[in-house]
Amino acid sequence: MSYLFYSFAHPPYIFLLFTVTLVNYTTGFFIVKTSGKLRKFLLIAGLTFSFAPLFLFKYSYWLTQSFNEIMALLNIQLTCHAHNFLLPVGISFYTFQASSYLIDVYRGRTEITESLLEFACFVSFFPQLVAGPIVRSIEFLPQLSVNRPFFKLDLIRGVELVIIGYFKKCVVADNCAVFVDKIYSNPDIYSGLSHWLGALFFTVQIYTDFSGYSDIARGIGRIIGFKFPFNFRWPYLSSSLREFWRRWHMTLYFWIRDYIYIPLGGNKVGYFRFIFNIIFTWFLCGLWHGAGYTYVIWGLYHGILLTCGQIVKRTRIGKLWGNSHIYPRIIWTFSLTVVGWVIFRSRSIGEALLIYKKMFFIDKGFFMDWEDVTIPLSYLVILGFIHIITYRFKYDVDDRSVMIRTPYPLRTIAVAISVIIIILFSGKQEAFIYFAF
Amino acid sequence: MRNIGFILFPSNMRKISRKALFMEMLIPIALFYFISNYIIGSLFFVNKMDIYAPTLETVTLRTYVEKQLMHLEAKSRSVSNYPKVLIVGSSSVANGVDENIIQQVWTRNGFKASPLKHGLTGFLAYELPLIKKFLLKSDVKTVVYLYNMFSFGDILQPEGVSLRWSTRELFKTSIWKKVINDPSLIAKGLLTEIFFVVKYRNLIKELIIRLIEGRLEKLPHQFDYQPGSPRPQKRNLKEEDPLPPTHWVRMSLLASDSGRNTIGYQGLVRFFILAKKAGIQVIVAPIPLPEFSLVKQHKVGISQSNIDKRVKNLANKFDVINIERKTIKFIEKDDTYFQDHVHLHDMGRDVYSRWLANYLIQHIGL
Repeated sequence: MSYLFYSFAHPPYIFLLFTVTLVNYTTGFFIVKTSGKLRKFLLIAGLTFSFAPLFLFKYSYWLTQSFNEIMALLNIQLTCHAHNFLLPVGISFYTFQASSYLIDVYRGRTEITESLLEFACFVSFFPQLVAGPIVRSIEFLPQLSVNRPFFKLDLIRGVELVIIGYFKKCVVADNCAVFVDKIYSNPDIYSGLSHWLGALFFTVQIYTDFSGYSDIARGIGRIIGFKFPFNFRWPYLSSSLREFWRRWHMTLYFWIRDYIYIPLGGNKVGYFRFIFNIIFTWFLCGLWHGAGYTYVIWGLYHGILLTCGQIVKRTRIGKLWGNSHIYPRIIWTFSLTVVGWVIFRSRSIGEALLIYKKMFFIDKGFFMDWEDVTIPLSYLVILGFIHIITYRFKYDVDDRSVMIRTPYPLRTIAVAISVIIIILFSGKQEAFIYFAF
Repeated sequence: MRNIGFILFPSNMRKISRKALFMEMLIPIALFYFISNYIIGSLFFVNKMDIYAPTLETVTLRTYVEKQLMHLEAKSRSVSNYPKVLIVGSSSVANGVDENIIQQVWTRNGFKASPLKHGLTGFLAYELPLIKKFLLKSDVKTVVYLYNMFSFGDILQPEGVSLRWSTRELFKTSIWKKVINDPSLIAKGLLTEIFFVVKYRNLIKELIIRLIEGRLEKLPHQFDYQPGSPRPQKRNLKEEDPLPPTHWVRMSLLASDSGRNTIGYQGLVRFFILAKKAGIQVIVAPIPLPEFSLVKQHKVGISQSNIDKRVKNLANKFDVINIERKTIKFIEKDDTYFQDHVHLHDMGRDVYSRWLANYLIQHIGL
C-alpha cells in the first residue's frame, strides 16, 4: 500500500526507494556478523550507497552549475555537465530514516530486523514517507510486531489530528501563500513594511504547512494504530534559538544531533572544535533543505546565532538575559527566526539582500503600502492571538484529545462542519513546502 | 499475531472497533454529505446564491463558471406554471439572448411557455450530456442548443471540465479517453459530482466573504458584460494570420471542421438520443456570428458551412429541428449588432431575441 501510494508521484522512483531499502537491510545483516575495521567499512559503504542517490538527484546539478560559475569567474575554460533530475519525492526523508537504522545497528542500539517486508514498511510507511516525521527504527519496528487493537481513542485522536492538519495546511498556509507569493514574485516594487508582512506571513505559512503535514501523518498513523513522535511543539513561543530547534522539526533536529553533531564530538571537545561542530552541523542542516546557496546561508545563519548564543550565555550579560522575563526573550527569538526565513524563501542571495535592505533601512518609501497592508496585518494579529490562546489552553501539548471529551453528537457535527470549512476556505492548492526537500 | 502495517484493518479487529469506525468516521461523513447537499444545497440557499451571484469582472473565471452552473441548478429546480424552454450555449448565448424579451413576445402572443437562458462560458457540445440532469427534466418541453463554430472541438474545456461532469456519461462517449490519464481530474470530477460544497466551493466562499464584509448585492443583470455601452461601429478588417494550432480555441475550430468524429459531435448525438428517450424536443441552431469574424485569427480558413452542414445532417438523422444560418444572415451582416467577434451587443441581442422568440413559437409544439 505504501509503494502504491508512492507510485502516484513518479512510478519509476519506486525502484530507487526499494534499492535504498535493500541496501540498508542487507548491510545491516552483514554488520552484525562482522567486527572491527570490516564492520566500520560496511557501515561506510552502506551509508555511501544510501546517500549516493540523494547526492545525485538533489545536489549534483547544483554543484556542477556552481563549479561552472566559479570557472567562468576565474576565466578558466572548463565546464562540466550534469543532468537536472526530477527530485524523487521524500528522498531526503527516507534516506535519513533508512540510514538511522544502519547506524543504530552498527552502534548496537537496535537489533536487525529479519523481515525485509517489515523493514520496507518502516522505510516506506506512507503517512510519513514524503515529509516526515523522521521516525527511528526503534520507535517504529516494535509497533509492527505486536498486535494493535483498534482503539476508539486512537480513531478519535487520529481524525482530530487529520482535521487540524488539513485546516493548518489548506486554510491557513495556502491562504498565506497568496500574499507571500505576491510579495516574493516582484520584491522590488514593495515597501519595507510589505516585506516585513511578507516575512511574517511566510513564517506562518511554513509552520502551518509543515506542522499541518506532520499532524496529518501522525493522525493517519494513529488511526491505523501507529504512534509517531511529535515534530513540532510551539516553536515560535521559544525563548531561545536553542529551544526553537528543540521544538521545530524535532525529528530532524534529533537526527542531526545524534548522527552528526554528537559523533563529531558535540560540546565535549575543545572550544574551537565545539564551535566548528555547531556551524558544520547547521551547514548540513541548511544543505539538507535544498540545493541552493540560500538554504546553506540560512543554515549557517542559525549555526552562527547558536554559536553566539553559546558564547554570550557564559558572560554576565548572557546570564542576565537568561534570567530575564520570558516575553522579551520569546519576541527576540521569534524576530531572529522571521529574519532567517527571508533568505530561506528568497530565490537568490541578491533577492534576499534587496529585501533585507528594504526591511532594515527605513526611508520615506517604507510605509508607502500602508493602506494595502492593514487587512493582512489584522489577519496576522488574529492568527497570532489564536496561536497563543491554544497554547495557553495546552491544546495538543501532550497528545491528549479534546474531541474525546466532547459529547458524541457535538463531536460528529464538529467533524462535519470542520470538513466543510476546510473545503470552502482552502487557499489555492499548493504542494506541501517540505515535499520539495 | 504479527501485523505488518500494510493491512489497514487487522483481522482480529474487535466488534467495538467496527462500531467505533462506523460512529466516528462513517457517520460524520454521512452528516457532512447531508449538510453539504441538503442544507447548503437546499433550494432556499441555491436561490439565494443565484440572486446574489457575482458579476464577471469581480471574480475569477472559475468562480464565474460555478455561478453559471448554480443558475442552471436554481432554474432546473424552480417551479414554473408553464413548460420550460431552455436555451443553452456558450457565452455567446449568455450575451446574445434576452429571456425577458422572449417572455414578453410569448406573453403577447399567448404562447404559454417559460424561456430560460443558460449561457455557460466556453460551453462545448460534448458537455451537453454531462449536464443532462439539469436539462432533461420532466418539466422541460424543449432544449434549444445554439452552437458556435468551436463547439464541436476535440478537447476538454479547461475551466469547466471538473465542474460540468457526469461520470456515467463520460463513458458513453470517448470523452473518458481524454481523462483517463489524469486520475486527479477524475477524483475532482467525482467529488464535485457527489458533494455540493465541493462543486461550488469558490462561489460559496466568495458569497460568504461578501456577506461578512457587507458587500452582498443582487446580480444587476443577466449578462456577462454590463449592458448600455455605445453601439459599435462598422469594422473594416483584413484577413489576419491564423493563431497557432496549439491555441485551444483554434484547436477546437480546426477539429470542428476536420470531418473527424470528435467528442463534440459524439456529445451532440448522445444528447439527441437522451432527449428523445426523455420525450424532450431539441432544436439546434447556430448562434449569430458576425461576418467580420471569419477573417479573425482564430477562424481564418475554417469553413463555417462545413460545420453547419454536418450539424444539419446529424439533426435530420435524429429528427431534430435545425435552424439554418441563412435565416439569421440579416443579423450576421450587420457589424454594429456585435460588440466583438463572438458576442452580440445590446441592439443585436434585442433583435435576435425577438426573432428567436417568434421562430420558436412556430416550431415548438404547444
